[in-house]
Amino acid sequence: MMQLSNDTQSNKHSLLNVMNRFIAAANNMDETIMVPSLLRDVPLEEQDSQASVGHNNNDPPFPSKQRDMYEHYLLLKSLKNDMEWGLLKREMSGGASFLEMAVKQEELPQVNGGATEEGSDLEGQFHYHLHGLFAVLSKLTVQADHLTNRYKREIGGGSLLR
Amino acid sequence: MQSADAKLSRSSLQLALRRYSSVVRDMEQTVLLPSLLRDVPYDEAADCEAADNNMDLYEYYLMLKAIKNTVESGLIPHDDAKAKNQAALHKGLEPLLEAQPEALFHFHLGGLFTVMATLAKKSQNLTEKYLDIIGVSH
Repeated sequence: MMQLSNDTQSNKHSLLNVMNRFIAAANNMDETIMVPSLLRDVPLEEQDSQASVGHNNNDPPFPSKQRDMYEHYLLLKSLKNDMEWGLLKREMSGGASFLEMAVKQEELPQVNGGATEEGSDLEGQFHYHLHGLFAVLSKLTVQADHLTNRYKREIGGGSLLR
Repeated sequence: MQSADAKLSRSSLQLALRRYSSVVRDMEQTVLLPSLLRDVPYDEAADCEAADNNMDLYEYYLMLKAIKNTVESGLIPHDDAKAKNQAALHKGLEPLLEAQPEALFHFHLGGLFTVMATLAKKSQNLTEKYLDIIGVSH
């Protein structure tokens, strides 16, 4: 059983590695942020940064629904949870689709609709979702790290040092 | 970080991927003469609305193996035509990556779960078909 993870350890670009990095970043965030409520009402964008650490032009803003860092923190935690337990939840709910539960259908391309039995389409779908997940996880990992660092810098400074 | 390792090994997606890998490994170990799968149509009258006309069992076998390799070793670059198609699909979703990474995450994670489960089932079916072909009861 361990063989699988050993094989992928060396390959930085494998999905499992990307997943592991996201989960590790989210865990690190979770363990660092001892008082999550301190994140409330702290805006995601740094308004007063003496030294703009990591907030260069390439760093994308967070124009998402989450208005403050606290909600962002909760989001990342919940996504990590989905990655860890999503399959179990799915199977327990009789295979109800993630798509139905969490996604606005009209916003997303109907890739899975209809031709799920076609062999070549399955392979295409596999690659599509693999690459898509890779992109999202990479971005989320960066966000988790960013959030952790901001907490340590701006909020955690006054509380107990880890 | 032992507890973290334990958590990682429980990850649902890892589980789904591992399950798939193990089913395909089983298929590889069973199918000792893959050439026997050539020209055998993939006819799943039982659970499939549209029988797959394009691929015979042998091509299916190769595809399932290729996907297992991708899962285990990394993102293998695929051919240009596919890459172009997917680039267009991904491009359409770029705004979502910024604004709603959560929705996109669930979309791809759920999609991957579904695809892996389907592929795993097809691997098992293929293995059983092979056993039928060589006349082994199972």
